[in-house]
Amino acid sequence: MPAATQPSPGQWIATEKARYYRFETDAANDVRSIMALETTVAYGIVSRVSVQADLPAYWKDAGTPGRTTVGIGDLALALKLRVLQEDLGPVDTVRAAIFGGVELPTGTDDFGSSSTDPFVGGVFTGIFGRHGLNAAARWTFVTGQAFDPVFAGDAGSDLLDFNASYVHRLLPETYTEVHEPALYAVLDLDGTWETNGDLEMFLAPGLLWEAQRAALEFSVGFPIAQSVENRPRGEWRVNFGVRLLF
Amino acid sequence: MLPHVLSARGRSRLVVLAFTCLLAACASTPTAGPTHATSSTDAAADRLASPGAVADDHIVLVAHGMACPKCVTNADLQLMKLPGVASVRIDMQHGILDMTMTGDRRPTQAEIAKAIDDAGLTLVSVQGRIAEGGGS
Repeated sequence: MPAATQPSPGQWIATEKARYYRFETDAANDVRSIMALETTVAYGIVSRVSVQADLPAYWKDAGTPGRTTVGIGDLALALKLRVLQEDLGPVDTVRAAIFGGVELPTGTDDFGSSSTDPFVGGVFTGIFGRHGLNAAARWTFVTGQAFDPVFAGDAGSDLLDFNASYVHRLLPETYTEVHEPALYAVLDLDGTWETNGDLEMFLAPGLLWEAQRAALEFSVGFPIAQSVENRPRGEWRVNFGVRLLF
Repeated sequence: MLPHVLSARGRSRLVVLAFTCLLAACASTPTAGPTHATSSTDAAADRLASPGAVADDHIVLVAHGMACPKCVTNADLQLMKLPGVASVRIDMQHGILDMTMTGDRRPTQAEIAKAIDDAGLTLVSVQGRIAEGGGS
């Protein structure tokens, strides 16, 4: 669930996401599931600009004993700039940011694209009382191909990632001076489209718990649209994340 | 059409160049200050070294955009960096930040406005006494 938020100057946000991807069994591919551990660190440089680094680690299971491979993926470095901030009330805001960066070919043999791939994108967030909306899109100029394509973008075609989410604050109904954590219900729509024609969209309901310096999120995603020919089709996925602000 | 005209490496360079130009243009946008502020002087301002500094031991800010618990931390961290600020009490629902100060060195109104901006919020008003000759 990308959002148009970022750390304030001098602050760090560290995020650790554990994602489990289950793929459809297919004789044409040798992957059954992938466990990914994605580490993200973001730092606020000045009021509206932050930098971010993402590095995933993978455990790939081919479904056959002894066929598990472990490695790291491509390191992504990005710069994010807030271009819109309209604070409409005490807890109401509309924000937008643009970002750009590059994926470096740090991946080990079974993972990553072995190419330097730049990307650009934008993200919008609107929070109106207990309701929140996010929308994001990212275009990756893919310049290389993974040896064994698994994820969108691995097959060598340019990639559009798009995301939309609705967030409803379950608790507290109204904020008070006692800053209790907030609990949100989240409905996330995640999609990818590649210039080779592959399209995949997942709907992921989940929960987000957010305190002043920490947040936890959990969601389960199911495909709602799939037209994938160049890599394994996703069956379902689970996402668990921890975010710390310091 | 672009993908057919340029090589993959050429496209990569073009994208990086375009984003750098866009970032440079946007980064030069001036920072918004507080939209309203009340200020007055009295004897307490005499002990202040810098014009525009807060005269009272206690002032109340109204800020908008504290949409999540993390925003409270952002505001708290940025305001506590200011000279003389001893504590900040925040009422998210009403956008009220209640600041208590001690010591001779006090933040100026401009410093407060920058801290709120750095926290990613919009300063609506400052309710407290500000020494004349400064502020924003």
